[in-house]
Amino acid sequence: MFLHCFGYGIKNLLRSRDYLFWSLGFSIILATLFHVAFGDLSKGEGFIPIPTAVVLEESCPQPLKDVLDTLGEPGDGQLLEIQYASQEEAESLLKGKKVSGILFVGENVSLSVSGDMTYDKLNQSILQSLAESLHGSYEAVSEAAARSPEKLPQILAALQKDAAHNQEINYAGRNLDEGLTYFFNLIAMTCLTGSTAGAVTAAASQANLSELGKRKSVTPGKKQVRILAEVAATILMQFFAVSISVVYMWAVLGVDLGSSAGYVLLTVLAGSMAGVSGGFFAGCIGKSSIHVKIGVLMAITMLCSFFSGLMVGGMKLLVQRYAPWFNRINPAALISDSLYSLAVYESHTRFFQCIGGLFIISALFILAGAAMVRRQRYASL
Amino acid sequence: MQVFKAFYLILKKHMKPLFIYTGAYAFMLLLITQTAEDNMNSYFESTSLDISVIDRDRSQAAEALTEYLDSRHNLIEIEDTKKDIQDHIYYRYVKYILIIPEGFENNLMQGKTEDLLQHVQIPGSSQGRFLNNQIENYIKQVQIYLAGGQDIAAAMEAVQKTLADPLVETLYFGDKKESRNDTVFYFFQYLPYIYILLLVCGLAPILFALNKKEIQERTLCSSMNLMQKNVQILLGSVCYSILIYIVFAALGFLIIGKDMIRAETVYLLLNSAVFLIFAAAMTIFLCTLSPVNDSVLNFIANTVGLGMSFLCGVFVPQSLLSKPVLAAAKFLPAYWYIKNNNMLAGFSEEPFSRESFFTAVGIQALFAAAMFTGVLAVSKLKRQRR
Repeated sequence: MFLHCFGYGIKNLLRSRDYLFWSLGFSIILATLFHVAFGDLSKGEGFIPIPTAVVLEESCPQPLKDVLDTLGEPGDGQLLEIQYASQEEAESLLKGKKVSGILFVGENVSLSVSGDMTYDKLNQSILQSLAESLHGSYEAVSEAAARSPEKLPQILAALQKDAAHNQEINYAGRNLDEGLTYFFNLIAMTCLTGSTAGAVTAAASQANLSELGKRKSVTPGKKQVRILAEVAATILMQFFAVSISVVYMWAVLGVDLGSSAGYVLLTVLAGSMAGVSGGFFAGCIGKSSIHVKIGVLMAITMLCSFFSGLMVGGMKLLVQRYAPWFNRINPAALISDSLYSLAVYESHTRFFQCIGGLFIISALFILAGAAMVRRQRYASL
Repeated sequence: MQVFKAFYLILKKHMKPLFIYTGAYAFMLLLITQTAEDNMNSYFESTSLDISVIDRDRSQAAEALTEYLDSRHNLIEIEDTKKDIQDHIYYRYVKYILIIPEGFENNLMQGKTEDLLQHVQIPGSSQGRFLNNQIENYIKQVQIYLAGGQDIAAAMEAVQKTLADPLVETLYFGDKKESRNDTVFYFFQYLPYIYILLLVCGLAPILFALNKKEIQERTLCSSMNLMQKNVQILLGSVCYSILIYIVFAALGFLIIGKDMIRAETVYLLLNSAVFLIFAAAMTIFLCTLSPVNDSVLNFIANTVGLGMSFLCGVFVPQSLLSKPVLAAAKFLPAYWYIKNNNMLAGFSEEPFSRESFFTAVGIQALFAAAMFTGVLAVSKLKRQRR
């Protein structure tokens, strides 16, 4: 009985070509577009020297001027693209957004940046670091040298020493490409779109919602077994569809999803289960038409994906700050977190926590859905 | 106006899912705008990050370094366990954790430089690099003072004094910081995605119903000519689009309040109106191509909406996209929409000019016209085939 219904469930889904095409095409097209858009996001285009206006004051000491010249020297190590200017000229350059900041170099070093160039914060931060470093080092050298001139060689040696003071501890195991999180969220969203198939499965088994449901409800077989078989078939099909997209991302687009393919597939399975079972549960509630239910499910899927950071990268962080419990029950966040922990952490503790969460959510949805359609009788249809 | 009436009868039947979509996307927009508002005051001075310091040395030098970081960033206390460290980085409670190992002060005084400190950061993050530079700069200055023969306390004090000098001044050439509120621009930035979703998911089921073979044939054999029918469908679509436009413009006024009343708002409203026309034209074009069912419709809407949004800079700033991507995005209207928004908000290098603005609006209008032409061409082809 189970296998019979399971087989027909698979056949039924295989024949909805429109659905198959789009559930596959959707993630493949979007993954390709993401790949095109984010291909260079983490690689960057190489460091481009920062256009900077420098206002040299008369009191500027020669060593500082030499340092600036070195920083602006064309070549691989060029940090700044310097334009020496008067204060008025420099301000007009900054106003016209031609430079990222104005360095005033005299006895002190100071920096002016434009509050209107909010898009240029990285360059502004680099300039701030540079100004602090120039100012601080110069102050330190001149003060220390004035105090003990005989130690000038040691002071200059300390200035020139370029040592790695600060070692990074790699608790994370691997480096994470920033663009990868978008792919994780896309996989999560694709898994959750299985909710529409879940809702259709639920509708197809209820006599008051579909013609097929009427036919099925007069069969002598056990309703629970039939429903479980159909849900299992939908989960399997969703799992295959998402797996194909994941294989495409990995093999064709070269998206680095980590070295443990088995765990990635386990995530896809758990995610597909969560998506389909959520849809099945929604399909079992009330008598609304399948159009309304699909509408609700797609809106919920989009909201879950939104909260896990598909549209705005920092959204998951914000949720974590204000409502951390939501990240533990949001299936999209759990799926993307599982993939994230696989890609970043060596230990699998966190991964299994997320996968466990997904399985619990799925089990609750299926049990609640099955309980709702249990022993339903219709006086008239 | 039979067809127009039928249009609204079908719309009435689809009201429930439409309300849900509108509610969900309005909520999303509200959150995005509020989040943007949180990050918005991200003028230069806001490079203050949530970080943690684990002091295993408990020395004077370690305390001074912690104090220095406390003056620049928000220090968040964490336990000195691997689990706590991992959790705080994993959930992004902190962006950076500095570990001051035992013997830090001694090593510093002996002039040792290698691995003086340890840190954990979000892998590859720019905030991590920023913090590293700041800390290394601090340590280097301490070492210069130490090389000059000063003791550790004096060296630390001297560095603290030097670094306390305010070095950076922020100049405002446009609005003063106090009166500047960019929420309105963030609100309009995300509208293209929402317009595409709401028009495809709201308008398409109605158009599919009206374009059904049987319905179409029934209408064709009536006294109404094809032109009248198409004009009424178009009128229905225009009214629906205007409704969506009014709802979201009103939402804008509701969320943003009086800051919405500013010179740029007229331009922003015009820009979004033209994009809305494109979204409506695109929906009609998609519906003319081939009818599909409800579940597939959502896939199409999201593929187009998300794809265009990511490629054109709705979700990711245009400045972060590579040049080839931006060159390709020029063939999509959302690029020109965002270009105008960035120009008005000052999010891009290009200063605002009416000429550039209207050129970009014109290009969006041309895309809409191309879609309408496509609708006519496809309808004609279909009619001829019949």
